[in-house]
Amino acid sequence: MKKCLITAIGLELLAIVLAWSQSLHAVLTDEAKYLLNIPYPHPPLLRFFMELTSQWPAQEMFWRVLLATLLMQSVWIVVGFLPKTETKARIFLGALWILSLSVLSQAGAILMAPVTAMQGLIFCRILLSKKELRSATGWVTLLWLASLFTAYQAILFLPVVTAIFLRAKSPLLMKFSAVAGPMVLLALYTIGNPLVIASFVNAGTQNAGSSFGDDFLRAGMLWMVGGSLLTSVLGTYGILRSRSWALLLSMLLVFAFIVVSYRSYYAILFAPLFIAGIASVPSSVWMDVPLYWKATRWGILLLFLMNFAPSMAALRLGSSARMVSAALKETIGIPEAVAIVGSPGHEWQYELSPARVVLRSQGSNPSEEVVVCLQPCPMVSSSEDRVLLPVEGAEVWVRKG
Amino acid sequence: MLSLILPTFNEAENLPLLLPRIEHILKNIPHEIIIVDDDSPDGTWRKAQEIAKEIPSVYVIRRQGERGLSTAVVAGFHAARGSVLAVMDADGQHDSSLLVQLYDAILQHRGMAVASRYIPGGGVGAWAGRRRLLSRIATKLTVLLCRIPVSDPMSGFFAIDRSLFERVSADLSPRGFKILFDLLVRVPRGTAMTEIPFTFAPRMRGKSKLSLRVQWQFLRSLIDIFFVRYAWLPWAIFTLVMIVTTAVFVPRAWAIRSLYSDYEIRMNAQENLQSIARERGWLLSDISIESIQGNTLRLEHQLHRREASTSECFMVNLPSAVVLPCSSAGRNPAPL
Repeated sequence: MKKCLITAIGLELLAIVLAWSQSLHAVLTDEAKYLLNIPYPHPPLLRFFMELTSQWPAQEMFWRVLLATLLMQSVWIVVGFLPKTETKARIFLGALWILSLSVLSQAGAILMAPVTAMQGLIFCRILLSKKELRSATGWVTLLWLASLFTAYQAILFLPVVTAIFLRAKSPLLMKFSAVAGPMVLLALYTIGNPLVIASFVNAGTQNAGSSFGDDFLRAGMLWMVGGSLLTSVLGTYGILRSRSWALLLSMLLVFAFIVVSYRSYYAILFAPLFIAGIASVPSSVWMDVPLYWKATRWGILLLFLMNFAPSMAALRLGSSARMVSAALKETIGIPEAVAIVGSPGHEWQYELSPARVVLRSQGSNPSEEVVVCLQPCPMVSSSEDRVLLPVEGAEVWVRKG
Repeated sequence: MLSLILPTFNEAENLPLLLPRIEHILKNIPHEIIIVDDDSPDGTWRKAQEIAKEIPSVYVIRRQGERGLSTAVVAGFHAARGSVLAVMDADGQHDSSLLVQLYDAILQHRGMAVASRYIPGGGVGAWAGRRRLLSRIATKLTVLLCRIPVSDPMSGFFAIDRSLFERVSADLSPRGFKILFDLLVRVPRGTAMTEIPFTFAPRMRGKSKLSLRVQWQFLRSLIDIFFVRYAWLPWAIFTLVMIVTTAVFVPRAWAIRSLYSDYEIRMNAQENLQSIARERGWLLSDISIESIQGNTLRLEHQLHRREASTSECFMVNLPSAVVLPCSSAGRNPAPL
């Protein structure tokens, strides 16, 4: 028990460090979208709770630490894939989860993909559990409903959820309503929010310029990052060897989803499937992995640090939005409204709160007291009643007096 | 016949004191005493085997590679031959003279009989304040989950009718140390329950096994049992959520159906939304379409800000691109 407590504390410390490292780059546009409960594209369940904390001064850090904690402490779910007697294999599997690049790099990010990955991990754990479901089917149904209303990408785990219910000894109608009911509800929600569909189309066409080969390669890269190569290879091997059609279909769905709508943070959606794939074959198969294979993990981690550490260090001062907000607070305080010329991310809404963000066109001279030019704005810069505020990363004009 | 199960782990010092006492108390009752030992490092099973040579009613089961009080009791129950099955601790904290009363209660009423610390006449003896508090909290929690009224579901001293045990044994998920609680959430409603007051005595010899691990196991078994006991709850929540949200989503989807069915309206709405957003400096992500009635589109503009999210409702006449706040609808619309 003491060992478990020490491990839990260690994981918590790691979670805090990772959350802190994520906070260095300040709030990103997608993160701000959730923290402000902006309704596109994902359904409202988690972002509703996030908005409830918007009054808290440390809202951002609270969610970073909470989500990082959940991701790190998920290791207990991971070790639960194997029987208690296989201590070494359990430790190895737990390490594979924590050292997956996708898990490490997204612990502390306020995104829906890590949350979906954790939900996927629970589904995979239930799928591989030897226990009969019996009374748990209702709870699984609720989790499925909650997953779908947290983020659309939970649908990628449909084969796993279907396999769970196929195994359950419940009446067929009950199984069907448990799997299909939440999806119908989600479809109804989506139809009632046409801008969600518009944002899907938008997200799906963002990569339209690239060739299928490029998209395929990029998805392949994320497959590798999803498990730091070693877990990816072992997991895929496990899935194929165990002939688990549910895991295989889910993995293919994740892959296809990334090909269509690439985002680097989707890599984490592979991680639970890899872990389940590894756990579905006897540990003797994968515990004897040669050392040079294990070493590749460290190589990839090193590569990651070499590539990303400098850029992370450069972001130490935070985003432009945060710097502008700080400069305004120092000089004139937060105004009622801030006009922005250009296309701002949602982080501007978040950082400038409670100021109202108003979009203005390039050729206009807005009436608002503060104008942030993300594009050249000659009408503003040539105006004599404005002064330029010395802020790094953005051109900020404030009305004189 | 009474089958008394004594689950043991490192109780080698206590058995020579306890077993003759029990044997004396049960002398007028047909009985057997089954010691289920989890391969104790102090050789409890060996000591029990020695005693069994002198007391023929004593049987010993030595479990290797398996551990846990609840599973030990279940193993003992399965091995037992009696029509009344009883359990007590082997550390001397349970008053063995009550065995006769427990046995009689089962013969008389069937069902279950529990030696309870929390009815008048019972008590926890000289327990420290912290343990007393923890036990009380755990008892209160577990009482809520039981299918029959009982004051002390955490008692480790009880008897059960064999046929009742056989009825529920397939459903048991023995984990941790509270087998009585596991039984109480599974026996049929209306099962006869007799409670007999008893006071916890101090341990005769050896160390208590109430470790952090045991408390963690208890918490896990509490969660397991909660899931079993309230298996209907998620279905009830699910049904309620389905009904309520369908009642919200369907009218909402219906209110904007023309967006999907009428290409002209769709294009018109798209152009109007973009021009309104441009004109007013709105972010498109702050807009949501509420309804379309004829040529009038109703939208909500929500300013997403920390601490101060506000929303306003507007009506847009699609062909003329005239926009009005909902509050002033009916007045002459002003062009954009």
